[in-house]
Amino acid sequence: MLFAQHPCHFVFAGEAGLQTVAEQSSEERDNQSVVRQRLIMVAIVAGVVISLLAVLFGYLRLDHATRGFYSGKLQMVAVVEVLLILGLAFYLYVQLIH
Amino acid sequence: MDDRPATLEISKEPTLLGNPLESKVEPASVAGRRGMKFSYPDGSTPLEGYTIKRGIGIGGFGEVYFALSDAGKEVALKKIQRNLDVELRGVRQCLNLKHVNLISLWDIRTNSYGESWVVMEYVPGPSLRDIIHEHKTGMPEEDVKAWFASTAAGVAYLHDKGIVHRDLKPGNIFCDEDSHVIKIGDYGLSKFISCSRRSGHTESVGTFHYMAPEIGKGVYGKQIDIYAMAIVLFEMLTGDVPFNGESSQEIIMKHLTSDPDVSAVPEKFQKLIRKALAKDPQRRYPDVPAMIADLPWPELAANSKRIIRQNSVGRMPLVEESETEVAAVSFGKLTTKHPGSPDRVHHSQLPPVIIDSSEMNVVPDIVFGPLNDASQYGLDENNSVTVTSSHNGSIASIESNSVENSAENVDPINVLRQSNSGNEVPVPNLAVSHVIHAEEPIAKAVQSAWTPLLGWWNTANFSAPVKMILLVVGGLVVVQNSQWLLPLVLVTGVAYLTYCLIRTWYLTEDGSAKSLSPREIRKRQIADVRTWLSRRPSMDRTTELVGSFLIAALACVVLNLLGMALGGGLVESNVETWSRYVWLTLTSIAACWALLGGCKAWERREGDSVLRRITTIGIGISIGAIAYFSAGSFDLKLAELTAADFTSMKTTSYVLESVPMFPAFLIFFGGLFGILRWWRLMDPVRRTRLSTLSVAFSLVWAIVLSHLLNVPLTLVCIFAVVISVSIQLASPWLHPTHREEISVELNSELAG
Repeated sequence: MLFAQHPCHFVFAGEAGLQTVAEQSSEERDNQSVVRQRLIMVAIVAGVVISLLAVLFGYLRLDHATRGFYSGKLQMVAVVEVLLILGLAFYLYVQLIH
Repeated sequence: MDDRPATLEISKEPTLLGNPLESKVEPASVAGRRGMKFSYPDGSTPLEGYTIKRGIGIGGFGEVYFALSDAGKEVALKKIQRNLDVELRGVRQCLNLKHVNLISLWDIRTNSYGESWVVMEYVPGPSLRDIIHEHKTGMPEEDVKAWFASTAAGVAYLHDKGIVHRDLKPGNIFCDEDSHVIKIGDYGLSKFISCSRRSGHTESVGTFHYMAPEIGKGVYGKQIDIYAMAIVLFEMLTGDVPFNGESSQEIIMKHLTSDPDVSAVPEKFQKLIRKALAKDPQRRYPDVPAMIADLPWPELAANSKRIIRQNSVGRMPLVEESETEVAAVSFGKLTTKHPGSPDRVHHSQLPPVIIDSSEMNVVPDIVFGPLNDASQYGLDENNSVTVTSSHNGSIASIESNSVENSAENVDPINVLRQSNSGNEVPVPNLAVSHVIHAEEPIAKAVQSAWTPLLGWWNTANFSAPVKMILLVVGGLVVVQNSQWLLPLVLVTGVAYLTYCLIRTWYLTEDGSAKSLSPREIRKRQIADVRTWLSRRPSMDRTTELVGSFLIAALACVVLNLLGMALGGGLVESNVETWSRYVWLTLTSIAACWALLGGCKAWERREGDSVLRRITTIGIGISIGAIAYFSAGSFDLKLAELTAADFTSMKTTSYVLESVPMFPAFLIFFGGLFGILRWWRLMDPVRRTRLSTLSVAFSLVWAIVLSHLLNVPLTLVCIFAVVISVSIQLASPWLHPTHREEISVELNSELAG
């Protein structure tokens, strides 16, 4: 079947259909790429949150166990750990997303 | 044994917080069974006007806390729990001593529980023990001079007031880092010297390494302090004590028989140390000034008389002070440090000191830093003790008890607490203490008559045939008289039954012999535990909640993966599969956290079920909204998932198919969260740690809802199971034994 889009211009319907499928495929790939990036981002954020929770929990437990005897040292270690976690997260973000 | 080694032992688990996964919500007393804990947590106010900030030491006589008065004054509070009379007597005699080189004792107070507390000056340290520990081969002479002169001044002042310290050692000598003054502590143990200046002493005193030989004889005077000072001097100079050994006996034997090897000591000190360590106290220096006069430090020797005067020795060192003020202060950690300098040594950085059990049992001592060795309370591996409580409330003896899981097993901290009130240690068996088996007198009389008759029958010298004949005859008599015997038995039975009913009712009303059912006992226990939970510091609860969040998140990550694998969702490893997994996991974590956070406040009381259910429904609706919208972010087509689920299930239609996806999600999550009593699954006093019945119920309910609504079956089933399992794993759980112990402890407190 022929479609008359212009008096002097005829295209085959089949050709139009093939183009639509290609576009859909491309759109799907784009969507998958976006979702993939989101997944990675979520994984990084979730990892950071869980790690920070672990650091906080560890600090509170140890501080309680040592009855505040090593609060200063424990706080220092916790801060270092937090910085390491954030650094690693940033590194992963740069490597995997950018 | 040696009071010098400094090690850190971090409590492995004895905590109120516990690992939520491992069901470690424990009372202080329970925790104390596995690792030593202080009786009072941070933030508590056992003594009016003072708030405990942290425990700082455990001594033979009691616990020492760092506390703040209501006005903000830093103090040390010493709770006296052993040898109450001895300790209080010693402290009273020292209350009005004023010397810059002595830690000031301010007051003796008694709280409403009858516990005696000594309020004293707080000196964070470091102690001389810490300094020696840093100088393995001996301290610099200037530092030795500073420490020794101050110690000598304090001891001389004590002697001048007729008091012998009896426990001089590096662990009892501290440096106030703010004022740079060295102070002697723990002289509450000091004993007043009688008029004759010699008195009979029978109690073992002092640490083995610093114990003068005559202490073993029980007759001693201030020369024991001279002896101990010489040992301390030796140790400062060499980094080691003169008499050491593998056991306390070996050390004591060396004190009694061996001459000290002073070759490691600089020559100019050798004579002084030899003389001060003479076995015969008469051959030692008669007093501290005499000892000072013999020191190779002319500036001190010249002031040896002045040194005993009050406040004669203050900031150290004596000589340099006038020239360079405190900038020249130089001893140990404080070298080149100025008052208020930003890099000053903070007490919290000091290493803790552990002493072994033998020392604890014999020697009253203050131990600074975390302690976890239950053996220091004289406990065996089972952590059970047998306690004899004396009339004045002090513990007379603590013996190891190897009977495990016995009803007689008692918690050591509990014991120590209760000993203060002078009570005998109760048997912590709630079931026994609560249930009073009221014995019925008629049954008792019949039983008491029947038992000897039966005994006679069994032991009577009858042959078996005779017994048989007697039995047959008896049976015939009963049958022959059954026409009146049977009604008699029936009437008697009914009368007895009526009597029992009336008696039970009457006694229950009266309450004098109230018999509690197991359900009632459990209810009481739960009430007690909730009271205990409500008393816990908010920091402990916060830590517990953080731990629960962490474990819930990890459990969701693992369980969802498992659920997806079992449900066939991980056949293809593509973006869509992982999107589904991440969506499920995030939703589960959000649900778990919302439930855990919301229900944490409810664990302290029973509360209104309706209100709680409405709250959980609200949480469910919120989670439903989050789940629906987050699915869009991951490009998940929930309608397709639903259709796929039900195609595979061969299900034709939904009952409420017309409900759109978003409301369906809200209704599903609201329904799931509303039908179950989720707060019960997170209650520390729930029956079991992980209730499979609850998990099964949540699964069934999820299936039912998914059939009613337009939601994906597999995913919501995984969701329901993961949530119900995760929150149970993440929530703290009290073992029934611990509940009993808490209940007993609370009841003892009330009784006390």
